[in-house]
Amino acid sequence: MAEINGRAAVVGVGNSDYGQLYRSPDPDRTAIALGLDALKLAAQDAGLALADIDGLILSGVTDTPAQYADFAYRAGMRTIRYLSSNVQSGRVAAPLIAQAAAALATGQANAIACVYAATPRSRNVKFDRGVSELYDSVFGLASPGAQYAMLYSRYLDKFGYLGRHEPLQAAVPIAFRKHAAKNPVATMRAPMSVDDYLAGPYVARPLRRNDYCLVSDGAVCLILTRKDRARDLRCPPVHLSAFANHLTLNETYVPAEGPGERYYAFAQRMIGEVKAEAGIELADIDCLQVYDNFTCDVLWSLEGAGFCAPGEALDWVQDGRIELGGELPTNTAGGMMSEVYMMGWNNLAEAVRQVRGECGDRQVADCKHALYTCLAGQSNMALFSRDG
Amino acid sequence: MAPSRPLPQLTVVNAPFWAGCREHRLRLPRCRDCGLVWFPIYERCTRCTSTNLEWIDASGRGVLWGWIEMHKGYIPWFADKLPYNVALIRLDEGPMIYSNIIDARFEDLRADLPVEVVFDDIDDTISLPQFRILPS
Ligand SMILES: [Zn+2]
Repeated sequence: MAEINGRAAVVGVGNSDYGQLYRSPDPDRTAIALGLDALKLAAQDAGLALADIDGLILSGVTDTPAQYADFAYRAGMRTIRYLSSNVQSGRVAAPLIAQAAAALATGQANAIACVYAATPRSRNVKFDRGVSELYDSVFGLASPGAQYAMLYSRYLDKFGYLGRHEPLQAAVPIAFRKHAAKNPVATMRAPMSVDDYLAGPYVARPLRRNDYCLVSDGAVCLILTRKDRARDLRCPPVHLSAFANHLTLNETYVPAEGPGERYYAFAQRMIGEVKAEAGIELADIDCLQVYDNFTCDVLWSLEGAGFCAPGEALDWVQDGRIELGGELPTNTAGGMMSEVYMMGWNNLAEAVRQVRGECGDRQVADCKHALYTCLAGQSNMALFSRDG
Repeated sequence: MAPSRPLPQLTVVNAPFWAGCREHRLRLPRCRDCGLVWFPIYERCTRCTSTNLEWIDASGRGVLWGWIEMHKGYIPWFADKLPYNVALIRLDEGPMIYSNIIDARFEDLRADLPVEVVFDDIDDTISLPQFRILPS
């Protein structure tokens, strides 16, 4: 179990207007510019001057992690105490928040801005690579979605859903789309029916296009400070009250974290650590913000966290259970499928805003604890909680 | 110009694997120190880091672990071959390997079906290991 509870709080959130960016792709748009805009918004939100920020954690933003100075200098930063520049990858989003908390707790900085920014849509990036260029493309394997779908077919068969899964599976993207309709900056806000879902073509069957996250330009910034400093700032602090991370490397080169039959044990371990560290039960979790790269990962996250039993998620997500007003409102801003694909950072931002209680039409009543989960090439869970 | 077929990238390290395929033998590295058989090919045992390896003839048998039917032509050569399947096979020796299941519809594919390697001689030097469902 980590000892991160009570160390640090998110005090500022800023992000792009995702829908506006989506409607106007621009090859000259830079991730640095989007990141600067998000940083500025987050600092304003926190009531901090840029000069108060003495730590910087980047994911993406610059072409290579070594180019961090290009961003920092343009952000007006001249002296930086804590710096960490990282790849653009969803699996690291929550770990970087935990890294910020650890750095703050050990006095390495007073305020750390975590910034994700990327422009894959404007640059027409295809998420088309196999796992190993030495072997996979020979067999026609391409795209991360194909690798997950490969394990999903097995899951569907093992649990008796294969062949009748599609209308059930549709409930996940449909729920997130409903939530996006209540989010002014979401990318996809038009309602989706089961027929709309089924009209989307297969990409890697059993996954259809509507089971995939978007490809998006945009930026998110979360600013953290030590817990004792957070109370003096503009917004109610949202504490990082638990964090757990897991990576299993198997005897194979399939997605190392291998959902399918392998995800369950380590997801259970992570949720156990989260509950123990934060001193909560599952029933105390008011909303879930899940890394929804593909529908199957949402299902596996629900099972892995224990909201339902293994093999039950397709039935469990029916009848509005993961919708606003349901038992476990999930991806309340629309998630990566309908709000924006910020590689988990948009899900983290929504967790913070729900706990703050500032989500308007999509606010979960009296939200004290928001859980973030990511089951991917490296898996993690983070709990965000209100004071007291 | 027609897109070229993606071919395996041969390296000093994986050459024995592809040479084996050319002879229609599925050859895999095995650690002489700890006994692990691994794939994909690396020059060291992926469990104990030993470089003391031998090449074995694998049984060529395994089970179907996962599968998809690909409907999007990310790879240009495959774009006019949609849909096609890609499968993940767990070999009897332990490792997993991506490949294709020949002569099978999506509806025929089920978890843990027994499969056996077959080789497709695609040019003068390369033979691809693919798999067929074994009759039950
Ligand atoms: Zn060994």
